[in-house]
Amino acid sequence: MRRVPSVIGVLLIVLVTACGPGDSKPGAGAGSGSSQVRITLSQEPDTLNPYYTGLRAAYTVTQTIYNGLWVVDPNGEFQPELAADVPTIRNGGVSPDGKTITVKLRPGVKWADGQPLTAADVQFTWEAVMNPRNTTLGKSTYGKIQTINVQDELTLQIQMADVFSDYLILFSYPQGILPRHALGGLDELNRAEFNRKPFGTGPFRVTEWAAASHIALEAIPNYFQGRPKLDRVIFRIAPDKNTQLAQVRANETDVAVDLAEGDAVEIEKLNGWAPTSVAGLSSDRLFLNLADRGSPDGLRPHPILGDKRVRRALQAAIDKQQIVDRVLFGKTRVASSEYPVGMWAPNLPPSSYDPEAAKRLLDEAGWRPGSGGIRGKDGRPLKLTINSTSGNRLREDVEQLIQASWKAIGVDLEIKNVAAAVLVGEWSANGLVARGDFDIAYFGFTPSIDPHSSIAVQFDAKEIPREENQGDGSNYMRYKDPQVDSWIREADTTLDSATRKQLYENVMRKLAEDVPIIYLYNRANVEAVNRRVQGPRSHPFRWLTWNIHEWTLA
Amino acid sequence: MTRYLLRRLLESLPLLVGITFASFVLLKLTPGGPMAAYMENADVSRADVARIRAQLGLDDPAPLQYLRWIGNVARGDWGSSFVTHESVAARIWERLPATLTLMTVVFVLMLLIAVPLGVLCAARQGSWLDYAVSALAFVGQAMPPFWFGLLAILLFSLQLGWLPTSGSATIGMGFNPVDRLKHMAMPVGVLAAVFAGGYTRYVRASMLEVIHQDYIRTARAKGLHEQGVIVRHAFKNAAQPLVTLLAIDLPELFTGAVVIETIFAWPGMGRLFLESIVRLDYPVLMAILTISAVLIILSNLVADVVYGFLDPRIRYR
Repeated sequence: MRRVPSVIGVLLIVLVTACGPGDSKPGAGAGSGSSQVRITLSQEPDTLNPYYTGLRAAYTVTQTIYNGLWVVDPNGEFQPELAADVPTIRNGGVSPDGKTITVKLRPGVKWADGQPLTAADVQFTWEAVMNPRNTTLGKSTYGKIQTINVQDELTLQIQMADVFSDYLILFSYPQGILPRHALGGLDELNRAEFNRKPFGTGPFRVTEWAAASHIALEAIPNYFQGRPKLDRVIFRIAPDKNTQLAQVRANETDVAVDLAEGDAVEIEKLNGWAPTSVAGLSSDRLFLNLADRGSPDGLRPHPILGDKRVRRALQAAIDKQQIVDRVLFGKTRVASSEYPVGMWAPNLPPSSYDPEAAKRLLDEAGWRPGSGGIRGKDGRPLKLTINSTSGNRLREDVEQLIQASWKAIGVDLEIKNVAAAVLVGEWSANGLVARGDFDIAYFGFTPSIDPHSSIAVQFDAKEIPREENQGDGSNYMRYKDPQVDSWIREADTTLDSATRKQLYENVMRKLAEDVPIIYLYNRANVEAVNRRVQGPRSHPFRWLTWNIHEWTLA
Repeated sequence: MTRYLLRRLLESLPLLVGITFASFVLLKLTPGGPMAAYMENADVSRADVARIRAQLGLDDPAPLQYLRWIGNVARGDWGSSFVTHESVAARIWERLPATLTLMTVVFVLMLLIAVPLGVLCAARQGSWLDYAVSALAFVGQAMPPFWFGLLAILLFSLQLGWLPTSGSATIGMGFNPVDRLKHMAMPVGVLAAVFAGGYTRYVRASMLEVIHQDYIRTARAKGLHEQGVIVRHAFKNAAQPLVTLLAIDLPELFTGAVVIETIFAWPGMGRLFLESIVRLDYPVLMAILTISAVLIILSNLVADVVYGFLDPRIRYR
């Protein structure tokens, strides 16, 4: 019997001796002398083929591997990448009827394996996306291309079926060009080995993907924008934010991405670390249902929210700046429209906080103060329900602030949060917003780089999800305005970007007046960066690794 | 014996089918679905989502989906993950080694702690050792593993800097036993402590039941020395409930520990299960649930067989 405890003793000694001094020098890895940066993701990418994913974690990796023909800059404008220039009507790259786009590739670009990039690779990429056996995500967009003709090694002509005003989203970030010589022989790409160990024309290529642990990439010396200054990049995969922050505190990583506003406050206090943060495109907003519940076609107006004066009053009673300061630690900004930054942003001031004006608007609308401080009209109390995603601390805090603000103007707000899948689920799954079974829905939405997709699908009356279109469309507010519809449709067939900008600005101004959505605040892209890593800069339209070929180690 | 085993195995087939059916129904009733991840993303059009749903067969009637699944499994095809498109078998194979390593070490360590302590406590019932161990066992059992794990990270990684916070190896280092042990220390320590808490109490309780039996008194009366009485006579009989418990817990060698694997970023099966739940990746979930069910059925059978060796009075028909 006495022998057993001694076994434990031996084990303990083994464990204790195993705990030598810490090994966590930042940047130091196996191949000493080479420079390496470790970046911790908050989630594992599903795939590294950009046509199969919608995940931020995947794009953070894929944008270090692939290039687009052109790519969005921090101002939201497109700049040439693999193409020699961005085709427009003005430079003759787009034909006068808008249906033929001629692309000249930049000469001398090589794939990571040394093969030259040619026009046939672009054509192949389109064929791969459209291949019916491939479960790719871009078929609706790329299906607008009729044919792609390869004219010579470096020239191709893209023939569109109709005028496609946001043609620059094709073959651009977050997607890119796939190598034909590596994939052209396959019947389908769904299970291709390439999706987990890809290479492209970008600054890095994948050498190893250890499931649930890390993805290792090595630099491509002949990258066309210059040899990357780092030799290796390791994407560590953390299951959640706690692990990410623990790795930051223990210096077991050099960069952690996809953090929240509150984390920036913590990181500022850490020695040797700095947060990067920029208010991104994504905004959390209140979707107001203009149609009565049970009238998803929008034929019957909502008894309370159908009145524009009530919607304006609700917005005026919310102190958005207080939400940003108290709940988001002042690390982001108040939202006022669909596009907060970049060339598409309308010059619109945020709504002003004015509870007195809100009360006057409610009086005008016939909602008179009643018992218990709650207003009423024709015996009906001014009572609304808000649905958000359950388990989200930030949104729960904001809901309580809004509840108190609205109570002060005589509006009773009931908070009923549900699982995200129930709130934003598909029509066939009886999703609350798709079916119009809500008063106010509160969640986040990230608009597309070009306003076409996000503004048209949210505000065109034909995008109201209803029985006839099987719930297709994202006009959850059941917003209907003929003027807005005509601006949207005109913008869809206009190729001149100045005209398009004007049309979308008209739409956003009209929305600010009609208030089908109350934009609350933009979400910031927050990252923790060890001070030894030089070069990471937040980008409002892309993720932190967008300029990784410029990063260096101090 | 062979007939008995065959009969038991045949009997468990309908049970297994029933379990897969129930799992399938429950997963289908869960709101959301594999496509929900794309719903708040303006870059992914609803038409694309609808097309992929159809391609994956998600629009077919649920009974048809189930029949197709069970038909494929009968032919040895577990299908492909809806999320990564890899084959389900490949996804499980890449995670299994990490979990097997972790849980095997946990079980061995746990037994090395629980059995001697439990036996000692029973042999010296009421001593200060008994009280101290019982108190510790309660703490180990009652402490939520996630809290225990976070405390360990706070102390050993962030305060003392002895152990890495997460992962199963230093990336790019190659196989280094010291490095592996350092990464394993906290997840193994926490899990072993939690398991050992329960097992120590079971061992102690079943030892106490046996120790007051007549045959133990007889053995003592024959003049056997105490150590022999406790180990050979008492423990062998007290081990039976322990075997049952172990057998029931053994499938965890496959399923892993969801909470601990998440806290310590251990790349194992528990995390795969959790990630698959979040995305409702039906093929992966169904495979994990089915294999777990098979293992539970088998390990119960093993427990029944092992009884026979521990207690020759048990006969199999």
